[in-house]
Amino acid sequence: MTSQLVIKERSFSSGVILDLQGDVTKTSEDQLLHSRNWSDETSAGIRVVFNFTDVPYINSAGIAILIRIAQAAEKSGIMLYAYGVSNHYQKMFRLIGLNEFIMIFPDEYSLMQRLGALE
Amino acid sequence: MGDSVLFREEWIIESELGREKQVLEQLTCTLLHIHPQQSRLDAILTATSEACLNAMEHGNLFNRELPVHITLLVQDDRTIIKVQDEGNGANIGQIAENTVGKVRDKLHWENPRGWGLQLMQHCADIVRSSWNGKFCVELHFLNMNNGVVNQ
Repeated sequence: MTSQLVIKERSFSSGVILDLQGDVTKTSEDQLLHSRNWSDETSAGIRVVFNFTDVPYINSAGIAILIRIAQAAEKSGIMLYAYGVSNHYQKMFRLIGLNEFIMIFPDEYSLMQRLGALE
Repeated sequence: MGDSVLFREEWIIESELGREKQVLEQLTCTLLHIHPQQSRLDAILTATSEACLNAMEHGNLFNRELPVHITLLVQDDRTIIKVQDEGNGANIGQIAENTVGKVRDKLHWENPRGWGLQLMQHCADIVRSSWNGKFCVELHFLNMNNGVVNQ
């Protein structure tokens, strides 16, 4: 059966990393949508990083939730990033255009290097 | 098309979210047994998962009493997954025409849908449907077996 998603939050200088553990499906809707206020315009400029390293299964319902978050984040000015996404799911993200909203990096180190260069 | 079946396996699940994962786990074991190097395993699993989810939601309306029937057929030149539900069916070609697109194109939609069908069409070489008292979606993955099947 579906493994329930658990989200742990870590902070870094310009934002937070959400460590996801479990499946990203319809059953993870509440955890993902309520992990922060995605429509909060006072969060504009904050960087939110999804760590998918321990996410073995993503389905279309889970992708639909990520799309809702991406749409809300774009309106409120929250910048989204991800790492640890398998090659297969990266292809799926590109197919539907989710990569236009969430910048994907191979790992935390390369992401932090890039963000460090931007600051 | 070489249509002699080299291997066949079937599963039946309740129409409850998460049940599809049981099939995916067993399908993985079976496919890896048939061919230890399955270069398209992820694509097969994603397409099968989405077909099961559509069957549960749109076909059986999440009525747990209604089964989703999954059949794996391995042939010389292709692997086929059939997913059958108890619904009245749908014209998946027409649905695809109306829903396939990228997120940017659907920004004005309140609740953009159609991602599952889009993933199926991307992962499988052929997606087709039929209705004969029950609705069935077929996913075809071509040139996978070359006649070699571990028994």
